[in-house]
Amino acid sequence: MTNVPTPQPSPPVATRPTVSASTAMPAMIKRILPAVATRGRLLALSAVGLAGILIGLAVRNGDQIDDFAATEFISAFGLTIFVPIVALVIASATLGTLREDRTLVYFWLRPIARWQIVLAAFIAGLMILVPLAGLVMAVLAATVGDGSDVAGAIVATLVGVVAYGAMFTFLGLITKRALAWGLVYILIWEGFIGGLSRFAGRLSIRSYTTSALSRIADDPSLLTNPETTPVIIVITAALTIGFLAAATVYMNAMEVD
Amino acid sequence: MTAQAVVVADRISKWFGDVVAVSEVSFALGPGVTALLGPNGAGKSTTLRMIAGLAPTSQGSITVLGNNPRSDAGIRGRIGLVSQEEELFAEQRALEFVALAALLCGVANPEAAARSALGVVEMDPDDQRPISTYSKGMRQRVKVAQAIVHRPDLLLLDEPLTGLDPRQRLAMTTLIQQLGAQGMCVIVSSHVLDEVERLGSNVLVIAQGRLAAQGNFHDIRALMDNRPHRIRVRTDKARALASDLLTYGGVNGITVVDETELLVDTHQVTLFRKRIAPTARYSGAQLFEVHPLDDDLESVFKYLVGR
Repeated sequence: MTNVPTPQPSPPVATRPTVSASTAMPAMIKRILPAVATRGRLLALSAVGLAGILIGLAVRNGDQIDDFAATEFISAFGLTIFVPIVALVIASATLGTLREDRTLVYFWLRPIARWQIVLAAFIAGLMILVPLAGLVMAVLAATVGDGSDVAGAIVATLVGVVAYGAMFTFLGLITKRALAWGLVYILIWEGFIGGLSRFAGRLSIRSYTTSALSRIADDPSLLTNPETTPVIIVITAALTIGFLAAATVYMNAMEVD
Repeated sequence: MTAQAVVVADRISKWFGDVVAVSEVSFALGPGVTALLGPNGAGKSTTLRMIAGLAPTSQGSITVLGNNPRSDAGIRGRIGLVSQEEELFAEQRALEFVALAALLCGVANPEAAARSALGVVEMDPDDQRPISTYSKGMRQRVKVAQAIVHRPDLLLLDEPLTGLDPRQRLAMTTLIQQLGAQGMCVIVSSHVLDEVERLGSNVLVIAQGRLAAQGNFHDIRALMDNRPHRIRVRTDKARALASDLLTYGGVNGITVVDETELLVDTHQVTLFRKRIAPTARYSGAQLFEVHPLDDDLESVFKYLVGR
C-alpha cells in the first residue's frame, strides 16, 4: 500500500575508526569507579577489615603466638575470608552495576572494542581492591606477625585480588546473582570441596594465595601447592587473562538491556 | 533517483523462548524521518534494539550502511540511540555525561560537542546539578543530546516524547524533523497516532510483531478510516432511525439492540458522520449519543494485522 519509494541497499560504507584504548579506558574507569566505590560498600568492607585487625590485636595480646600461628591467622582470616569477600563485593559490582542499572549500553554502543570495557572494569576494581585489601592485610600481618609475614601477606593479597578480581568481574557480567554464586564458590568450593582432593584444591584461588604466603613467610604448614612463587604468579596471570577473555566473549554475544 | 538505504532489515524475527516478539519483518529505510507505529508490546522496541545491534536477531539479518551493527565496532559510531528504558549516570552533570558519550565516539573536542548538543535540546550545559535531580523531561532531553552529539547517520528514538510537556514536545518534534531534513535517518517509535502524524510522512506499522503496513502516513490514515467501524447510537426512535439509515446513511448493517439503541456497522465512517444528523432529523428521532466502539488504536492495529 506504499507510495514511498523503497531505498536501495547501501554497499558497505567505511565505518568510523574505533576509539583507542588510551582514550576510552581512562574515561570508562573514571565513570565506573564512583559507581562501585560507594560509601556504604567501602564502610562495610573497611569494618570487616578493622574487625580482623582488632581480633589480631586481641590474639597477640592474649597469648604468646609463634610465627606459624601468626601466619595461620593471616591465612585464616585474611586469605580465607577478607580478600575473597572484598574482591567479590567490589569486582562483581564493576560490570554488574552497569548491567543492572542499564547503563552498560553507554559503553556497549560506542565504537570501542569490547575487551576495553572489560579491562576498564577490571582495572577500576583493582584500583579499589589493591589499596583497601592491601592496607588491611599489611596492618593485620604487622599486628600479628613479623616482616616476612607482612611481605607474604602483601604478595598473597595481590595474587588474590587480581585472580578473584578477574573471576568476579566475569561473574558480575554473566549473572545478576553474582554475590550468591561468589559466596557459593568461596564457602563451598574453596572452603570444602577444595580440601577434599589435590585436583580440586588446584582449582581454588585460595590454594595459590596461601601457598604464596606460606613460601614468603616460610611456613610450610600452609603449603597446599608445590608451585614456587613465580609459578603461582604465572598461574594467576593465566587465570586472569582467561576470565577477562571469557568476559569479552560473553559481552560480544550478550543481549544488552 | 532512489535514496540509498541506511537500514535494511531482511525478514528479521526475534523470539524469547516460546514468545515471538518480531516475526519476519522486512524494510529498507533511507534518510529522513520514519515513524515506527504500534501498540504497546507490538515489538517496536525489540526492532529498534535489533537495528542498534543491542539484541541479535533470532532469524534474518539487519545491516546499517551495509555493515552488521552487532559485530562491526566502527559502525556503532554512526548510530545514536535513545532507549525507553535505560538509565543515566545519575551522579554526573549533563555536560559530563554527554561529553563522555562524545569522547567514546571519538569526537575531536568532546566538551564543545556536548555543549552544542545540549544547546540543541534546550538544556543548560553549565547546569551544575547532577542528572539525578532532573525531571523526566529533562532526562529525556539529555538522552537525546548524548545520542546526537557525534552526528550519527542513524538515530533511533524509542518513544522520545514520553515525559515531555507540550512545549518540549513541540521543540522535540521540530528537532526530529530538522535532523531528518538534514539527511539523517531517524527512526522514531510511538504508540500515539497523533504524535506520528506530526513527525513525518513515512510510517511502519508494527502490530503483534508483524509489519502490518508501510508507507505514507496519509494513506495509512485513510486505510484506518475506511476499515469497518462499529458505532453505538442512542436515540428515542431506534427502529425508524435504523430504517432511514439503511437507505441514506452509508451503512453496511444495523443491529437494533432495543427501542433506544442501535449498533451500526459502516465502511464509510466519514460519510456516516456527515449523514447521521440529517437522517435523524428526517426520521424525527432525537440523538442522545453517537459513540465509536472500536476507534482506539488497538482496534486499528488488529484490523491491519487481520487483513
